[in-house]
Amino acid sequence: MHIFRLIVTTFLGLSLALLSLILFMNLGIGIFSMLSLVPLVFFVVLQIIPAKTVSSTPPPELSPQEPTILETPKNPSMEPLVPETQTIGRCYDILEEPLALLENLFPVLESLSSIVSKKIETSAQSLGQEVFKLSDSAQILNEEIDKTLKNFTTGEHSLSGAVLNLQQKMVLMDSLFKVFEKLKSGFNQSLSSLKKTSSTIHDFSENISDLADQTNILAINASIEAARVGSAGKGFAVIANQVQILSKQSKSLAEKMAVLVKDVVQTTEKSFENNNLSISEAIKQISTGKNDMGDLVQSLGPKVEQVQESVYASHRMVDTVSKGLKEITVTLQFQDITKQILDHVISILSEIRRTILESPQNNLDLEKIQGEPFKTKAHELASQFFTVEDEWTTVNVDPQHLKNKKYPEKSVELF
Amino acid sequence: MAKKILCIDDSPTIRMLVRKTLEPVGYQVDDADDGSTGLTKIQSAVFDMIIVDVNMPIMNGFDFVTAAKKNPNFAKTPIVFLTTESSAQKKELGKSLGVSGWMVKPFNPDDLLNIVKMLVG
Repeated sequence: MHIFRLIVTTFLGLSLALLSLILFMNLGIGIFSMLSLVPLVFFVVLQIIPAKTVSSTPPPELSPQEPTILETPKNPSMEPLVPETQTIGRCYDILEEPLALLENLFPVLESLSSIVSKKIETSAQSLGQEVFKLSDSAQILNEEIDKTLKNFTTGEHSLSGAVLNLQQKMVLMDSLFKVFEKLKSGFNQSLSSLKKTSSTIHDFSENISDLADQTNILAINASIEAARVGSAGKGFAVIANQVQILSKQSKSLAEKMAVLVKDVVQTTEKSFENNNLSISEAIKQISTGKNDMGDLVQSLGPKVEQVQESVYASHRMVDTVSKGLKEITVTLQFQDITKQILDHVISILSEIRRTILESPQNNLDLEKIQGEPFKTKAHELASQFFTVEDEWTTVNVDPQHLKNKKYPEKSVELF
Repeated sequence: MAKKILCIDDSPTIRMLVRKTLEPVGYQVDDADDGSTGLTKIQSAVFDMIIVDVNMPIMNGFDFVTAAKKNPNFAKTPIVFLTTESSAQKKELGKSLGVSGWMVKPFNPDDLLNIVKMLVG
């Protein structure tokens, strides 16, 4: 009796476990975890309580002439009042209907288990494929970013290279700036020197002019003395006259030279002034250009660093994706474990079914148990729980004709 | 030349995960969905290593290993079980059949890579 109760309660408990798996498909892992505990508790309680009930509850008062199947001896080791084979046989009679239901539900449970396994497998496979596709895309994107930004940040034609080039050009501009400054200074010195020389030449020409005047006066005096002497002084008078002419020419030349030198100095001064203006303008532009370049170099520097940081961030992203992928790989394998557990549940149910059907005390009419009335009743019992289309296929019902009753025409409705 | 690995498992997801773990690092992976198909594959190609599940329909992993080891081309090929089974008795049985290793599911990709590298390089 105790063994028989053990078999039946185990069978019921595991059936509930499987049905809770069906609910899991709709309601999620949390409810599944809760519900899968229910049959376990049910199973444990039914094992413990009957044993305690036997020891603590006093047996009913019975007339010796009226033996009853439900009589429980005070001490389990006592001999039963009714022969055991008859008791078990009568138990089978009473349990014919529930056993028939279980017998007809077993293939339904087997089919449901198979559906759950396949759906989980399909789902895991699909998810796995999408995840790996995303990972491959991320890897390709990272390689492209790396390639592009690497060219941008390293090498001769990179941004970093351009900044370095600019810095080198700034040094050259600095040198050029100094050259122009030196040139301007040189021009000023040359102009100063020229002015000094011009002044000296002017002084010389004035001296020559004075000398010419004095020579002229001397020549005039010589002419006067030659005239006083008479005919003996004629030659001297001619010479004096020539000297007079020469002194006048010398003076004229000296004056012309002074004017000429003055013109040259003025022209040169003007030219130097123009050059100085141009040099000053060039120096100003070089200075402005140098400052602008300096600003550009300063602003580019942080931008290059930002680009470099982006490259590093891209590498970190790939590492994170790779790590996440490993964890997903482990998680996806749980569908295989779930399938194994479902297979074990079905195997246990199958073994219990076999034990019941092959029991020597079994007086079950198999043809009746496996026949249509019980089969129909079992399918009706199972159908009460069905909400998913696939479930109906296990009882050979086309869910389409149930659509009006069970399934709304639209998957979303507003009220 | 790339090392060739055969993965035998009735779960398409497991076969995909093994492939995605090994192919990116340069291994060539072929697969079969049960022991019988696996036997057919090893008769027509040479593999450097075989990864096989225990619980499969038609022909389970133990029967596959027994049959494969009779093939002189695979007598020395490393075979590793990748399975949910973890009992000591099953492991002893596998060892007695000549398998080189035993991995329990769910496997960590790094562990799978390490074991493959250790056995085939």
